Amino acid sequence: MDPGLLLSAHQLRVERDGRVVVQAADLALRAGEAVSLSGPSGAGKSSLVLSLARLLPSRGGELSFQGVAAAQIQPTEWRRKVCYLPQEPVAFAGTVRDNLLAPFTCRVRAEEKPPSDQACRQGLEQAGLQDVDLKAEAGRLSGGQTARLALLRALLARPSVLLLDEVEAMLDTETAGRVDFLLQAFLDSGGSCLRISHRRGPDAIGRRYWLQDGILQERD
Amino acid sequence: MVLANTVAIEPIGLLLALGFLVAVLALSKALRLGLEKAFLIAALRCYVQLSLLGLVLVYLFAWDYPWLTGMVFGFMIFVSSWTIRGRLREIPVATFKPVLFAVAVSGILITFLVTAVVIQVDPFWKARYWLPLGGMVLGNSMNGIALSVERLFAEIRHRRSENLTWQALGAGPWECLRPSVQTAMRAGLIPAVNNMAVVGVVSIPGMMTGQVLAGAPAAQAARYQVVVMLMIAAASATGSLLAVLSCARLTIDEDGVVRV
Repeated sequence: MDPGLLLSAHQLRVERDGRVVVQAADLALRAGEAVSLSGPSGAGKSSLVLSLARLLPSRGGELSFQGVAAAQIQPTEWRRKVCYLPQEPVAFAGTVRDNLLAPFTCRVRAEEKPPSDQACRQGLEQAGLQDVDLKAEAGRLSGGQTARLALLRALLARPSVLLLDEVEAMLDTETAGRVDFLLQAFLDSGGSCLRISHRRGPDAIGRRYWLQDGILQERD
Repeated sequence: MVLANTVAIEPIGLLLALGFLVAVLALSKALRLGLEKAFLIAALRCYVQLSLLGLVLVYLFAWDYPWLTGMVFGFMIFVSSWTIRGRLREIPVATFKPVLFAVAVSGILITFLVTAVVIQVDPFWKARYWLPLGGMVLGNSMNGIALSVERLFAEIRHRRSENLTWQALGAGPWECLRPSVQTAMRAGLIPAVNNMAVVGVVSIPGMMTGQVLAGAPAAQAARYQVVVMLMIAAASATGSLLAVLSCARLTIDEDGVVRV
């Protein structure tokens, strides 16, 4: 087996509301690698990504993490390693600190040590949120700030794979640069990232996947 | 048992009471509430059901067959579950079975505890205790269940993106359902708490009044009423809890993800 292989899907079939959206997808994500997923809107990109996070049941094919079949891994344990970030960022009730520590209140992370205030502040700074206080109400942040808070919350939870559903939709050029910076640090630490994007610009780092009419293809 | 000192209602009195119905119908018509038909049917049902109840109760109490009492109680459980189903029609999952389960378990359990353990009726299935007390238990847990289950699904709908995010971060289905379940339980229990707070001041309970009118000592009647109020609160609580938990379970799919 490829030693750097984290998440892989083989002949994955995904249905949503009784309709087949992905027929037989082959996909692989390796440590330190960022890939992009594009395709016409409504093609099922979100459904495919949801099923990679096991938030939508797949109807055939195989899904595995570091060579271990999904069936051998508890769904919550799977999502501890493979983290999905929804298109619409959500701030939970409470402070910014509450939000950043929220993943550590889940039973699946009971054994893990939550990040210190210093680590949280450092993360906020890297995300361009240096003016946001840890004690501020998270519900009062702007859309772009909430998007970065949600990304930082996911990163601080230390997943191996990050699945991003069009995060840049909420960001302007300057903050998009911040997001790229955070993601690069994540990749450098051995993470892997799949990013849904409408754009086909040069920012699509690494390999590119294209989903259309239920068929997933790798493009150069 | 005829109460010598109560004023009997003559047929003419009943006819006059129909004036209330006419007033409500006129109001419904004037404000175009569209409730005339429902009101007429409900009023008719109310008259027929209560008249039949009067006839049937005499025999049920006199014969006191446990199987017959059990059948009547089973019928009451079914009808209350069916009524709740009608109120929950807009909910996207089939709630009848979990609701029937909640009504049956809380109804039988609480009525048994009251007759057998608290009042110590011997035998505990004596119809003249089991049926009226059980009826109060069912009526109240019915309200609690309808309110709490309605609220549960409203909450889950409202928290849809929040729930998805929690689960994406590793929360299990019950971890992410907990706030919705808590809010739903509160909604189901508030009426019972309010009832206890105002009883004797705003609401004057019929059963207690009846006992006092029939010549029972006032302290005795009050003790009965306290038992009844606590019983009603317990029935709402157990009924709501069972219904909310078993309905919430229906929103979890085979992968342990909260749907709806």
